[in-house]
Amino acid sequence: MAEKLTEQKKLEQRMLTPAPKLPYRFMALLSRVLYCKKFGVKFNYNIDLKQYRGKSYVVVSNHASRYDHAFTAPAFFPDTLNYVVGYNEFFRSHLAGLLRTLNVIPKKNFVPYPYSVKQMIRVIRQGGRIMIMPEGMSSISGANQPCAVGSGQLLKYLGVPVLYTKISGGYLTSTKYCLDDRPGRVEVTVDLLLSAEELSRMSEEEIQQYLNEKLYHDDYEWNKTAKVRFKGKNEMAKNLHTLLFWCPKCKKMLTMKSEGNTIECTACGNKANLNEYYELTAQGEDSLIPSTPKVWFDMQRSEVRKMVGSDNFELKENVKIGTLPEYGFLKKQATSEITGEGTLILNKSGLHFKGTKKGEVFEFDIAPKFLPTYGMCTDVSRFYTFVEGQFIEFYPEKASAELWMMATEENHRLNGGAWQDCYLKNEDACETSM
Amino acid sequence: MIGQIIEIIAQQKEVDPSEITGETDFYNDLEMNSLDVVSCVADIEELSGVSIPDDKFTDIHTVNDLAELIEQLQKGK
Repeated sequence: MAEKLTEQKKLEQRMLTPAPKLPYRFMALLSRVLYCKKFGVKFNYNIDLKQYRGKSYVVVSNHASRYDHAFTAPAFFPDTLNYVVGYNEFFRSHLAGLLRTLNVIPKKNFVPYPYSVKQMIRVIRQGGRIMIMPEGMSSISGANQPCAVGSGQLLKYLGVPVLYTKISGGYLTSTKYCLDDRPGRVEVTVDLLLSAEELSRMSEEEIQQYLNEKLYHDDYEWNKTAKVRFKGKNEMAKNLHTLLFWCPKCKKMLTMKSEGNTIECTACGNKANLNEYYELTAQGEDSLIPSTPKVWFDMQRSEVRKMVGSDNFELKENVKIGTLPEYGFLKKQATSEITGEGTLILNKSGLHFKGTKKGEVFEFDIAPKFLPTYGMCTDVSRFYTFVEGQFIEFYPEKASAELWMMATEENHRLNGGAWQDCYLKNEDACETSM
Repeated sequence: MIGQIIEIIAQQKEVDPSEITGETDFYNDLEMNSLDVVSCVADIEELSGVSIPDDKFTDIHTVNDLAELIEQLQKGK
């Protein structure tokens, strides 16, 4: 009797073709109806798309939020795009059918995944178009992470024109720390990034650098001039402490708490209010608060970097671990099923886990240079990576997921990793922003 | 199968098929990078109807490696 294929094997045996026109266009129109009016989406075209219509091209975009498909697909209508989406999303019951119907390309984020590259090449060779968000995950902080290493090489290899969308206001509409919808305004600018001729002339490194420069966007800075009000139902700071876990005044970590429009340090009382324009205001004369959550985030990163660089650095916590189902899909918007637990340790030699999975002993070690960062499926409460190709999600006991993420990123960067932060603000700039 | 693989590689690398044998190493002899190999594999998958699992990629160095892998996968289909 033939072996019953797991969902993972079935997924990786598919040879994808350009997105099917009818269902794709239906979904693009539905997105326009459902989201564009609700979130106030405006499209600005710096190029005439007619010259590219029906031809092969790649679209790259900053990845502002989980709604980016709705902000970008209508911009290129009626052209179809094969989106490149996180592998694990294909195992969630509410997305599984749609992603497969639209020939969406799965990608294991932040690890080599030849399957994904094969499908991209296939779609482009057949005259299709692909949409890549090269940061690899939706923005954590409101601004960009550097594009994944190798993005420039891939674009050069594909050799077709690269268009881009710059999404402004997308993060503030649905932040990473709080997934509540906050309608305001979203501006989507469409432009040419690089022509085929420019791609062939430039080196892979030059393309990578150009990509980073052109896609960079900080939603908080944008809103200083755009002055858009995002309706937050008096819960603007809800879960903000999961992102901003460090107190800028007493410098302690994991002492912040947030509720309503307020974030406060439980150790020293440092307190701020976040309004519907995402402006932070210090509460009380003694409070020391950065000018925007992004500036706060960068300062926090500097502190984490110092901690990671110190002698005997170690981060340790008990976690539950989640995996993807072998058969069937995840229900009720879950991102994994809990199948084990153990102790997670991060130190200069990398990430280490000792515990159990599915009732058996499970251990792994990943060196810093092979672990640039994690993925975060939904909000800032848990994080995942791939261990020998298998999806493993970590559920920490404390609200420490962002600490784990930042510490792992800085550990990678301080220990010879290739994914360096081209946006790390210098500390002087951060200090003067308070 | 080996002849078809050689044809695909020769076309992609714009070299004479007679310059490629079973022992030809993708990386050392043909100076292909990982994207070239992935692209070549994508073509061969369509020709053979089998999908090469990602964990097998590190085993592929020569034309013979690829041909043998395809044959194994076809037998197991």
